[in-house]
Amino acid sequence: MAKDRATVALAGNPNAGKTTIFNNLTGARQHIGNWPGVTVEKKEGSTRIGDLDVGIVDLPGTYSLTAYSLEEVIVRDFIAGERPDVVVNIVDASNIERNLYLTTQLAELGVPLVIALNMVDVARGRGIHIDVPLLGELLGSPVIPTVGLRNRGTMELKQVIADAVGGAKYRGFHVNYGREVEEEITRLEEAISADDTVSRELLGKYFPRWLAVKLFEEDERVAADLERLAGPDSEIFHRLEESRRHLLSIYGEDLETIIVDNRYGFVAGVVREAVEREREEYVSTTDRIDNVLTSRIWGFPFFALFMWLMFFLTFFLGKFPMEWIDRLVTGFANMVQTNLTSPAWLQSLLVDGVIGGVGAVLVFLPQIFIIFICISILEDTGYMSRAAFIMDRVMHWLGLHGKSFIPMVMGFGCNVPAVMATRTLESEKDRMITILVNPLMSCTARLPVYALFTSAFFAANQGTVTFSLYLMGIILAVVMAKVFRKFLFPGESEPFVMELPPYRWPTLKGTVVHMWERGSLFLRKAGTIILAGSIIIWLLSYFPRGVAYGSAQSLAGYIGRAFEPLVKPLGFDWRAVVALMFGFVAKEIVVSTFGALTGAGESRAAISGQLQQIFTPLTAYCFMAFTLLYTPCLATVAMIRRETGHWKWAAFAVAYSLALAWLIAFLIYRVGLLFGLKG
Amino acid sequence: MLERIVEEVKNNPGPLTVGELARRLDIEESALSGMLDYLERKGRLSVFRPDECDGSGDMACVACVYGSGCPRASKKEKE
Ligand SMILES: Nc1nc2c(ncn2[C@@H]2O[C@H](COP(=O)(O)OP(=O)(O)OP(=O)(O)O)[C@@H](O)[C@H]2O)c(=O)[nH]1
Repeated sequence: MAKDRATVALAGNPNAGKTTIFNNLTGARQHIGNWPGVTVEKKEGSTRIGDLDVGIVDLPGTYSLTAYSLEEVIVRDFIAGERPDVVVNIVDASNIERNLYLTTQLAELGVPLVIALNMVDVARGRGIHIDVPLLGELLGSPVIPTVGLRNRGTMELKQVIADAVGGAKYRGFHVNYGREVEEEITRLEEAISADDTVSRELLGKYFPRWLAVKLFEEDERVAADLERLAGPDSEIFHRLEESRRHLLSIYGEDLETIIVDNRYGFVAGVVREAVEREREEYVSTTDRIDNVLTSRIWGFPFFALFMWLMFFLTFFLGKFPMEWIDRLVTGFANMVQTNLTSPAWLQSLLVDGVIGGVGAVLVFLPQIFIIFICISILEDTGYMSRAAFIMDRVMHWLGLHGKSFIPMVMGFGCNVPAVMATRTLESEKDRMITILVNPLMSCTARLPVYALFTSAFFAANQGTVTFSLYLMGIILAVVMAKVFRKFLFPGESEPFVMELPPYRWPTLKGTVVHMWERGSLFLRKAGTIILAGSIIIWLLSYFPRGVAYGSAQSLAGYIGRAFEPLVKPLGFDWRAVVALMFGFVAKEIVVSTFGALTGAGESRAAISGQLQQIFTPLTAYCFMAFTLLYTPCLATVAMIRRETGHWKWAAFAVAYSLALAWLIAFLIYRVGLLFGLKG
Repeated sequence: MLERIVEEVKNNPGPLTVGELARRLDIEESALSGMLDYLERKGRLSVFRPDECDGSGDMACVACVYGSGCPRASKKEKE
């Protein structure tokens, strides 16, 4: 007798269009709930096809039917447990090769399968031609082309569902795993069927073949069920172990890989037969852009251009708001100075120390925000991933492998999370190298230092000079990585592939939010660490009592002069020593130091004037290079200690970068002198 | 098939994108992505997806500026 009620389940990959087809089939007659015990959404609906009442269940989207995710377990439990009359497999025609992988597993569950070949419009647009009758032939199942979005193919799909429920016989298919594997599967199936408890409990739901294949796949749930029912010492598990040993000796692969590989092989075979891709294959906009931006020849030049542009914009646009903040800070300092005349020390602390120190950094807030906008845009468009890719290519030229360069790009923001991000590297050696060279990437905390010095010495070329420093950081990171690889951590790294996201237009909201999230952290830093640093520098500049503020006789001067001989060969004086010492805590404090040392909450122009008495353009550049390279900041050092697990490595990072900074600054200084620049 | 992928990645002189690998092996990109997932789970190679940063620092995105201030991380916490 013909059925008058039937259950149909919709299964497919995420985004294949299940929900759309579900809506097309059910119209408004649907009900949304949850799968029992979990928060995964369950959609049910119904429709009438002729005299047939059909209940339709939209299963969660999955790529496969392993036991690794909740969704996958829901799908297979439903199909095995509820045994729907028909499973409609929604296949995204534009990603057919991936989608059919799930199809192979649905077929293994042994339910009648109907295939809705959805998104044929997209596929056609991409030059993918699918021979539908042949595909149906190869899969032994009806295949109905649909365009869910336009409700095309829905009638045909309904008809096929009705036919299938009404008893139309389709051959179906199963993946042939090859003679050796099939023999082992058969043996295991026999062992499974021979076990009484298992037969009673499980074989009503599952085919023995499915259970056998799942055992081969190392499916934890199936293994646990069978272990519970048959016992770990049963014939089933002995057989499984023997198959494993036997097939390993033949294929040199574990069972799961053999199974998965065969499924992909089967799908590839079907695709080869029934799918034709136009020679002039569809090239997405992303591909088109990438052909230029990640190309061997143009990749790096474009990367450099974007970086240069970023700094150019930072300084060009930052100039105006900087003047305003500068005026604000100076005005505030003057106000405090006139209204708070005693005690003198308090006035000095507030004006010289706090406003002078913190203010000196705060004036560069616009630049910091602009660079954060630029970074946000580069990140939101997807370009930053390309930057990492391009940098990685540079590493490969030097014979280095692996994704170790990816956290390096992060270093442009802040070295602390970048060092933390090296956890993504599986190879311990790659990780160590990446951690050690990461601080050479110029983080945003160095930016105020460059901003201060370039405005005092290279006002016309701020962007270009800053760019050269960033580039120097990258080049030295690459060189040091090579050195470490050769002498400290020789070896090969693991192979890896990078999945580049498609390009997107950045949204205004996204960019502003990202900028603010990062910028506000900088502000917080100004109110905490930089403030504390400024106060300490004030103390050192003010005491002992009676000396001129910030003079060579002050405590700061005393400390600075003690170490001055070390930096004399670089053309620096004691004030540079003090700035660098405190800059170890946070590099912005280098700027605060000059702000506090010169005192009196001076305007930026006054600080610039003071700097010009201490430095020449040549020594200023050397000083910036030194600031870039010398020792990671305190937070980074702590992170290096945490991530490497040893103080030894943190100390090494400090020591080698100090030596490198000295050497590079010395070289620049000497070469500059040779060229007749003023030292 | 899977073996071929591992070989190709291993022998490639330079970094490789999934798109490029798909073209070379003539596998549809999304299918390849699935195969790479599998190989990654098996520890045969690794796939880096900069787009998938959840701000945990374990899978940090490129150009992450402050681990703790990552907008994506704070979004995740809210969810
Ligand atoms: N061009 C085109 N777009 C489609 C077609 N079918 C569905 N879509 C669109 O594809 C997107 C995904 O469709 P959904 O129905 O949400 O996919 P799903 O399989 O339910 O996704 P999950 O809920 O993630 O499992 C939506 O934007 C649909 O409008 C189609 O045949 N052609």
